[in-house]
Amino acid sequence: MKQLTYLILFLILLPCSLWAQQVEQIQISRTYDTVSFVDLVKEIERSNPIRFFFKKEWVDDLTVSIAAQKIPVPDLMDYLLANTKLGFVYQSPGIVFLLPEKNYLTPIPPYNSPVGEDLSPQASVTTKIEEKYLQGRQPDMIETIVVGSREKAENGKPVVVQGHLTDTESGEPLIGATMYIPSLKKGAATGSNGLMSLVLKPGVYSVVFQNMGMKQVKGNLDVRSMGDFSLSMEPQLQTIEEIVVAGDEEQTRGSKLGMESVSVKTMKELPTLMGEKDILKVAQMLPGIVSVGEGSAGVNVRGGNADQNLFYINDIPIYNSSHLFGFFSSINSGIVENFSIYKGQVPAEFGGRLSSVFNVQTRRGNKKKFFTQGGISPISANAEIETPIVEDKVSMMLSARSSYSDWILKRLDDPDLRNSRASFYDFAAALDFQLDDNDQVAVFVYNSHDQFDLNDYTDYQYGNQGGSVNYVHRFSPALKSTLSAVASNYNFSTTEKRLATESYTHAYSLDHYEIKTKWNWVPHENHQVTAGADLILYQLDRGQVNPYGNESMKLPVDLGNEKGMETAFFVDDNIAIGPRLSLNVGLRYSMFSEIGPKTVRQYLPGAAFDDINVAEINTYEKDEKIVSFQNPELRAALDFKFTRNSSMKLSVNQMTQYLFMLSNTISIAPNDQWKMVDSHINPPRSIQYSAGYFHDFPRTGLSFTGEVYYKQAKDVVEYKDGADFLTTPYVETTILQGKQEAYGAEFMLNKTTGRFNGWASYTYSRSLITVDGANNFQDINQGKTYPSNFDKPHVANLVLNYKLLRRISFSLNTFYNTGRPITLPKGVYHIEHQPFVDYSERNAYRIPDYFRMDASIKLEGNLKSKKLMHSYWQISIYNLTGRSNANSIFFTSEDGHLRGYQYSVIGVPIFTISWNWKLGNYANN
Amino acid sequence: MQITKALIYFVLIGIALSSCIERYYLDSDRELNPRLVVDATITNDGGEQKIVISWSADPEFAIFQPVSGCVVRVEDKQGNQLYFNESTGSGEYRAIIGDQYLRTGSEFRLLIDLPDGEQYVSRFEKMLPCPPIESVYYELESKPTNDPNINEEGAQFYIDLNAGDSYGRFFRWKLQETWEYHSSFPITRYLDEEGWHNYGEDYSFYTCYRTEDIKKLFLLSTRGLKDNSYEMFPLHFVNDHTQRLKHQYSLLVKQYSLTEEAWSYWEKLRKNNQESVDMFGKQPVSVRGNIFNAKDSLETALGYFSVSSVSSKRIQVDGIEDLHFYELPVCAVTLEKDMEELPDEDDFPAYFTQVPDENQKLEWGYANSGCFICTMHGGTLEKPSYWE
Repeated sequence: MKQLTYLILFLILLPCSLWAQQVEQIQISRTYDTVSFVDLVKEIERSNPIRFFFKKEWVDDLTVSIAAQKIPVPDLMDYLLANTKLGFVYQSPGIVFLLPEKNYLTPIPPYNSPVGEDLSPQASVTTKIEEKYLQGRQPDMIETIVVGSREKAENGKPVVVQGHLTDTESGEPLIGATMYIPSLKKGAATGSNGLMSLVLKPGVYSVVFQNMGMKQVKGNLDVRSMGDFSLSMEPQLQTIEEIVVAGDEEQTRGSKLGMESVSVKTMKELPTLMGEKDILKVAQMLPGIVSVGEGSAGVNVRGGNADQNLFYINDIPIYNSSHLFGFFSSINSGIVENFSIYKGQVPAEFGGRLSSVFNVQTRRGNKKKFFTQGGISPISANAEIETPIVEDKVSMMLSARSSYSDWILKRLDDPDLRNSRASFYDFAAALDFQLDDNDQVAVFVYNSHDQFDLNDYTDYQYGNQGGSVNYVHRFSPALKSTLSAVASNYNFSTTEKRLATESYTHAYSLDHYEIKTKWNWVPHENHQVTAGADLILYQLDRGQVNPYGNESMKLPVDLGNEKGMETAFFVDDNIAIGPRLSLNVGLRYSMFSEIGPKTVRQYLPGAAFDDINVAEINTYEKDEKIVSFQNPELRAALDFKFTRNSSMKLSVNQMTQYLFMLSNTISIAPNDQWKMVDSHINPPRSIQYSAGYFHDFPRTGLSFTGEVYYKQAKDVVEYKDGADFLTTPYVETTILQGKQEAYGAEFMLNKTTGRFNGWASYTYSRSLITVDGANNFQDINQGKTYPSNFDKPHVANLVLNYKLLRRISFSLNTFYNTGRPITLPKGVYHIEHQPFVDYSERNAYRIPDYFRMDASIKLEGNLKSKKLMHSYWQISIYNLTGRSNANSIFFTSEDGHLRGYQYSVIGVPIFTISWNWKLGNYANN
Repeated sequence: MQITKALIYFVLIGIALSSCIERYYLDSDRELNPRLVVDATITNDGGEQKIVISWSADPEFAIFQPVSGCVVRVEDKQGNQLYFNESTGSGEYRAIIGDQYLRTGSEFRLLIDLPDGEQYVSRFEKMLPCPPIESVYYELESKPTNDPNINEEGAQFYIDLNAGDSYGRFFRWKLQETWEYHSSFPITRYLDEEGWHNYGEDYSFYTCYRTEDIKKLFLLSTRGLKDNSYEMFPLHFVNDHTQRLKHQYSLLVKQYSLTEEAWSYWEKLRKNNQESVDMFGKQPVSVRGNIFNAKDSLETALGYFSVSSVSSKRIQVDGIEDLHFYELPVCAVTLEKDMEELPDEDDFPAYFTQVPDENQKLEWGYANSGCFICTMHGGTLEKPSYWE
């Protein structure tokens, strides 16, 4: 016997009794003389797949006698309750709800569980879903999903329920789809394989399934024993696609502070630059994520350097995430299935960067039918095909994107750029094998390449390649393991030929080999554990700087090879303490060793790391350990719910970084090298404290999130003034390490439903750097604190979508941020009649504030259901107001005078009309 | 059952990205803290040595503010001191250092006592030997401009270096150009208070010579190169928008051999000053010279006290016929018959020249004095001794 929930719950179930009529009926055969009603139903429950729900006091005094032979349940109940005022409702195949009266119409107070189990409802507030049913506005058919079987039930012990959610059309697993049980205030979200699990006591629960861009599914979950269920969700076509910002379970995403999730479908509505939909640009509309300037590579998350972000695409690390110096991202948005950003609380399974993890999951191929999509923008074309190889078992996805024209460059004024050539491509392929219910193998390969030739002066090439194999095995619904093997390579080459005598060529390569195992275990309904280990081997060939051409007199410089091993053990433990409080305690223990062969200098104690102060030179043999580091990283979080719609979260997050980027430019350049920590360079470490408040306004579809954070990082790498990373293998002579301090408050009001949706966000944040070593030569800015290049205190974004009709929708984005810090002249002085600038302290001033507004209109073709082809027009205007936002300010000496100039990347509105078509009707997506 | 779907994205109109550069003015209410500026290079070039001391100025109002009344000394390692004398109020301090002190290998430092009692002292700088200049030459080049249809024609000057290992690897070049230029017309007729004056053709103000320092830093380090030599180091570019290359052009190149510290100082200044529409952006480098406040070594003066031996080379370039000089300014002449009245006293003397009218008939016309008097363009009539 189980607890009863609201009566409403069973009113919800009413329609199901109709629907369930075809199901085989249970018939009861029993003979008892004067037995208590309670004992009778216990006995019936024990021997039949049937359950009774009632309030104990109703039947305390009721004794019955029966002699039944294959009596259907409703008949039996009629008979048993004939002489009482109690009524009942029978839901086939095996649920019986008792009612306090035969014609009971109004809600009754919640029942207490007769056996004292604590899964009873916590509040008498009616849920949104319940209200809808009370008001009779929602005539939907409610589906009941049965999990497990009565035979396997173990007398009320909580069991693990695993759900597998898929897309009805493509058969692909849905990632990040959620199931929520309003009565328990409990939910779960699917992982990358579309699987979710939740511990529940046997019983019937009203559940809601949601996924971005999918129709919400409401139903009942009848948990009988440990088991699985599958559910397909249909695409949602009527509402505008949304970005869902996570942080609140009510809203579909896990309970992590500072976690953002971006739906690729969002981008269909948003205005674009040159028709290129770009997931990283969308990310920059979210709080806490900025970039140095328009079209610059790399993002800065919560005051961290651009090299403090880890980009994963299906477990493959991407060491350069931009195409065309940052105008576009190297991830083809067309194949992105799910995109999560962890910027606050980072799961213990991730590590290796201080600021954030960008985790991209791609489409894995349609398992049911052939699918293809593609596009042409003014600068690139892309195509994707998906096909089942064995229906429902094996699928394949192939995608390719390539630039086909660099006509934009030809139209620029700057002669160096005008005479330049640029091209890029990327390619991805996935194979997905659903071996059986418990085994899944996913294979993914990725390749991206960029080439840029600056006026025959400098030739840049760079590319990422990688492959991953991911095997998921489910031992039981409560225990799952994932094993991934990843190989990845990032390389670039630069040929500098502006001056024949100094011409050189340099090629760099970074290999990344990784094996990761992860175990998810759900020992108890209130307890979930994720644990595993990660092993990464890095091989860096920093390359040789070689003379280029016959006239070059450049001396070859070998920048050296490096080899390092990063190992990490991690465990994340989620415990719910009561209905309101849950704790997440995670620990990642990371270790890093640098391994020979290598030549390492020892410097005179206390002296600057330079070529003069070398005390001795040590040579390490192959595979000999040079130096190693160990860092425990705490990842802890607490979640407290005030009410069903509001909660507060606190977290502490520690991170360590063993690989950093050598960059002496403000935004990432294509020839910036990744470098490992070593005997002279300590691994940067950070700790972040964050707190958040989340509130939902269910009837309006609005949600509010507010988060504050304070982050401190040590040993962050800054370059010395005038550092040149191509002149020496001894990087320690060119860099300094310092402290980075960042703090901020992020606010966001989000509306995800309705014709009128979007979000408004405001962020106040600071990012400050102090490089104040023990000696003067270890200082930058004379040891004084200075703002980082991307310290933009005020950032406000507004994204509005309005669907006027099904065929016409509008979108408007507005961006404002404080100008980035800049070092400006504080004086001018003359030497030999030439003016020179006496610069201020580093970043003491700011460029003018940035403001931009973009708009787009989407006009759909007709809505006939039977048509061969559907089309729509999209009109985008980027930088609607034509404002020339300063990207940089520079001072130059002209005819003996010093003149200041501001440079804007885009200073006019950019207007694009595109026509899109697809086979099928409007809804065929 | 497979349903084929396709989505093809046609772009009908796309407008190019348009970047732009605009003038930027600093906030006027910024606080200025003037810093001491020392312009001091001791050379073995012969003649007077000059040290200029000034205050740094507001970037938007770059005026020269001399520091007068300093006691300026140069001292060598042997303790020999030489005082520099100021030409009154100019901030310029001059002295002649005897050749016997200016030997390579000697080390010098600069001491400055300001009128307010503060003292600035430089580190010792060594005079390094300077190799002779290998060769200086030019090549005709065509450089693209912001207008894709227009290229800039002119001469790109280069220098070759061929120093042996006995020399240092850090060099700086200072350039001085001299060119001959002509007025548009000889003086033939002019009007002044006394009335009309007629000459035959007076060419006395027709040919001028002008000398200018090229205000640009040319620095080279051969560190990182196989040999202490360099071919085709680019110096300046002279376009055909002036008469520089039309008649005769002379370039004086002075080569300085620097210490690494001095080179690194100037190199940082050069990087900070060069036009930098850098795609990826760079921070200005913080530059610290070698002249410190004696009480507080963290307080440095702007500028670098350099000591260097010098080698020089002058090349002469005759008018380059391959250049078109399409961009040369043309003198506008107003025909006398088209003038409502003759120029008045303010414009005296008013020069006239004969030009053909629309019927190809020679008529008197009035033109600006600058079209007749070449010295009005900053040059002198005195022919340099090295002119051919």
